[in-house]
Amino acid sequence: MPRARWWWGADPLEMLNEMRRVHEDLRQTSREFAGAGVYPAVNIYDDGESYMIRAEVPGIDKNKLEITTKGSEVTIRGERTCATPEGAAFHRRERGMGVFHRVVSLPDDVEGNKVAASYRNGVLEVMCPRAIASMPRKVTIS
Amino acid sequence: MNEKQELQVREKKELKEESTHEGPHFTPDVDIFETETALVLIADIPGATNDGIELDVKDSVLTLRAKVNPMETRWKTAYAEYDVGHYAREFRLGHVIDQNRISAQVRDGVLTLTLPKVERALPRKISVTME
Repeated sequence: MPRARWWWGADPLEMLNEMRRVHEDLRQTSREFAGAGVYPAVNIYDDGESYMIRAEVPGIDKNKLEITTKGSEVTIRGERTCATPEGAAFHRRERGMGVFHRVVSLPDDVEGNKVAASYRNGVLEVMCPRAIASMPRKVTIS
Repeated sequence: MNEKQELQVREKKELKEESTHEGPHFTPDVDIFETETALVLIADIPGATNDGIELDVKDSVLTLRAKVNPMETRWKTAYAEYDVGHYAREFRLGHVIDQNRISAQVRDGVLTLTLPKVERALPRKISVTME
């Protein structure tokens, strides 16, 4: 196996670097795949009947929040703005403002036309019910 | 017009030194600005309810605490990008604040605190009389 021999003959530091690079690449890919890093951060919960996408998006005008579905894909779009009085001098500015757009892919058994959303206390909750056919069902024994 | 800025995700900052309170605590992001009459503090506390917010001023230190109710237990986490927890942060106030007139309001997970400045003593004219 000439390939294996090449590996073993290589500089061990070179090998470590190569391994790290591959690892970084994988991490990057998985991050992109998951969509993490795109505002808003989301958590997905499951209670057996529905999935719930939950995002902390404080201070958004409900009219500027838009949820759309396409199959089992849920898209969250919005804009966060903040009105500051004229002549205000800032001491600290940590809260980010701007537009956002995020697509969350859910398993195929979601019924896209039954998705419902609520926005309370700055938390967005998108309820995505599962199709009846994929819900657990008790089978009666005759 | 310029293209609108895209909002970035920022990791929630967890308070490590909190040991006397149960559950994880996070430092809320804040804006603080000053107007002619007041200092305004705006804090993002998503998930906190009105009655779970606690504000306390003692020795010129403003303490903000906000409780977040945990998720109902029937929900199992399938995927997570952020942790849910309470909020806590302290601010040192300048002595120009009229601590008795601080007002607070919360809306959509955003707390706005107005800290009025103390009205300065009006300039007083002193008349000098001749003997």
